[in-house]
Amino acid sequence: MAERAIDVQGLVREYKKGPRAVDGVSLYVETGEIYGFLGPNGAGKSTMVKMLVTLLPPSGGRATVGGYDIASQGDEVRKVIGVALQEAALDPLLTGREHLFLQAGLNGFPKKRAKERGEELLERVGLSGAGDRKIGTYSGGMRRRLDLALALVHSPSIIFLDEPTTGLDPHSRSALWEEVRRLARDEGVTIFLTTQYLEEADVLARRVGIIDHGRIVAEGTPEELKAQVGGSTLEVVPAQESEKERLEATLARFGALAAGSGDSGVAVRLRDRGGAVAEIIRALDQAGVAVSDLALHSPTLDDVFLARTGRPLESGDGEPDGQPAAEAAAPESEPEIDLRMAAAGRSKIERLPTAMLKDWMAERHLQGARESARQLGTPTLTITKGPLAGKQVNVDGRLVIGREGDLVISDPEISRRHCAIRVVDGSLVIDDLQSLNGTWVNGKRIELPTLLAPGDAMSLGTSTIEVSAPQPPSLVSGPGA
Amino acid sequence: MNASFGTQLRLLARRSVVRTFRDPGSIIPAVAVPLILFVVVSAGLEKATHVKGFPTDVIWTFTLTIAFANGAMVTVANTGAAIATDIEHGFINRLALTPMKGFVLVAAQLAGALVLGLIQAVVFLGVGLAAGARFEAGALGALVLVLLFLTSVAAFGAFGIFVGLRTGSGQAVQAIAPLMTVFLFLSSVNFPRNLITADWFKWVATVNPLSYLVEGMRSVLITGWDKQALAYGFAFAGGLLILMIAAAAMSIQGRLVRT
Repeated sequence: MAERAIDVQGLVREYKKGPRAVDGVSLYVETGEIYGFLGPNGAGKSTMVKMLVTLLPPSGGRATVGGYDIASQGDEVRKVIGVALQEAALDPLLTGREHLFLQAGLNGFPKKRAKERGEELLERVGLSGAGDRKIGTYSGGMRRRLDLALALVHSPSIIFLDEPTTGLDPHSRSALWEEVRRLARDEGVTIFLTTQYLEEADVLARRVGIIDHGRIVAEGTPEELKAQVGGSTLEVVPAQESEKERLEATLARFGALAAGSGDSGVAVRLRDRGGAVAEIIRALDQAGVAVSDLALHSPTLDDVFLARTGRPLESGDGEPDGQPAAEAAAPESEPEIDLRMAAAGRSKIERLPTAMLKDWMAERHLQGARESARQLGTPTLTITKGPLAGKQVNVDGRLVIGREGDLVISDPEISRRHCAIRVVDGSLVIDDLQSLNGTWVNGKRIELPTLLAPGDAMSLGTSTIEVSAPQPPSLVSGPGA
Repeated sequence: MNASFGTQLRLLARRSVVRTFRDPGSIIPAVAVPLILFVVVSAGLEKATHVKGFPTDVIWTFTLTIAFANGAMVTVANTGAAIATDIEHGFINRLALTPMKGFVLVAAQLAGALVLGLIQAVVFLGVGLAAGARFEAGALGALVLVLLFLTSVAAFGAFGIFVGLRTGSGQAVQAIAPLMTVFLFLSSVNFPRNLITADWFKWVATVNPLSYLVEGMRSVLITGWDKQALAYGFAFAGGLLILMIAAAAMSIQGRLVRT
């Protein structure tokens, strides 16, 4: 086994009359490492995997997998790899057990050993009880688990998993993560994992490569990448509005000040990621500043992607493989919709499995929103950056921030609908996001529900809009109260 | 370690047969539609036996070939849809990542078609004989008919695989089926060529190679041992089989793109 299980140098894949789906990618994966290949839909992840597993000849560059050249030693490469492609390629008329037996047989296992291997793998992925059921009756999670088992049949030393958890429920997702971890930890298997989920790359991968429009835009350990975009942000809300100036002066000693989520809050981007919080608290105490709230936000991989590309990862603004770039390009006159939840730990658009669940979520959030609106009044949206900076958006009671921090339109005529906000020719436009659900707008795929937390900043083209969340009555002092 | 060609063929042929038996959508139309045609055409042509020069007094003897010919042609849709489904579901990529030889997949798909063909043959023969059809060439003639039918099944099956591989679309394959029926009815399947009065139809039936397949099958029922008719029938079926297997084998190399 080579020390570098995967070594890629300037790999290119060009489609006729289309863009370069993969445009000069170079990377390496060490033996036994879990490498996360992160990018939005259509960024070139699957094309990259198909080239590395020998299903697609590269247009340029070179790569070795397990020490074998993918272009000239395909047979050797296939012997050392296991692959679970994006679509769980299973025959709906065969059973799980038959799939494993077929796969083992084609890989040269004698009949008896093929059956034994099938049983072992069914047991390992928890499908022993369902082994004799036809695939047509399997759930998505079961299919994915069987897909993984099939990739393991011939005990490969390198495994490629192309978006293995897309569409899975949280339980199935974490079960699959555990199996991936176990493979790397206990068996020393090298794993090349593509994903569009930040959390997945963050949790599983030792190193992450971020791809966008066919090019690597960042690479390193998740910690390194996050460190590149700056330290954590600490947000402090003084107990008394009058103490804000003293608070700012104190915080400025620890890093650059940034806008807080509310009128009274002050945020500081910390120079030192560790230990600073305790020092700040001591400093505030010494300065005599009473604090009503304090929150530490760590950078996420989404922040890394945003910093490198100017847009958030999970907006789905990938250029579809083989599709002309022009189709995905956003015109300047109509800035992109960008409802990113910047708050730490919630910086992703939820993808829920069923319309029913979405409705339930929408209903739940709407109830919270109505309650908040009744108790707290109308919040405001303040544009803090860009041509409209300094302006407040008059939402006239149509827009409220829910108890859970969800942005919903409370107008009864369009209730239960989330909305999108755009800046078009200097005007703010509120769209009914429900009607946009599943569509592509300015190169971004809109998916519901799109949730916003209090304090979220929304980047809309060159503008940044901050949501001023309703505050408890004792703390409210802004114009939205 | 790699599985031998024989092992690969056995494994994939087994899969093809299993799929066939688990998919009522491929068995029922393959058996029922030809039988319905057999019955309907027989009812419509019953009086044709009174036409001077009609080769037999028993219409069922004449029309039994309709079931066999149509039954063979249904195979196009079955094998084509099966391979197209493998492409659409990405299963062919899974196979491509194993040491499987491309041609094995083509041959294995035909195995499923041949098993189904045997079932069709038994049903058609049983129903035909029960209806009153008789074999002038006797029991051996019936076996020869089945052999010619199975050769045709393999030939049309290979054609279906070729179309499925080229298009990668089950819908495209299904669209071929009505065209095949049109070709069949533009042959001598419903009437002996020498009794067709419309010149254009007679010309079309003469140049339509399906006429020779039908006449080869019909010869053992009506004429006895007509070597020329059988030779033409086997030549058409065998020629088509070789041509389509070659075409499918080339196409599978295009589909199983791997470096």
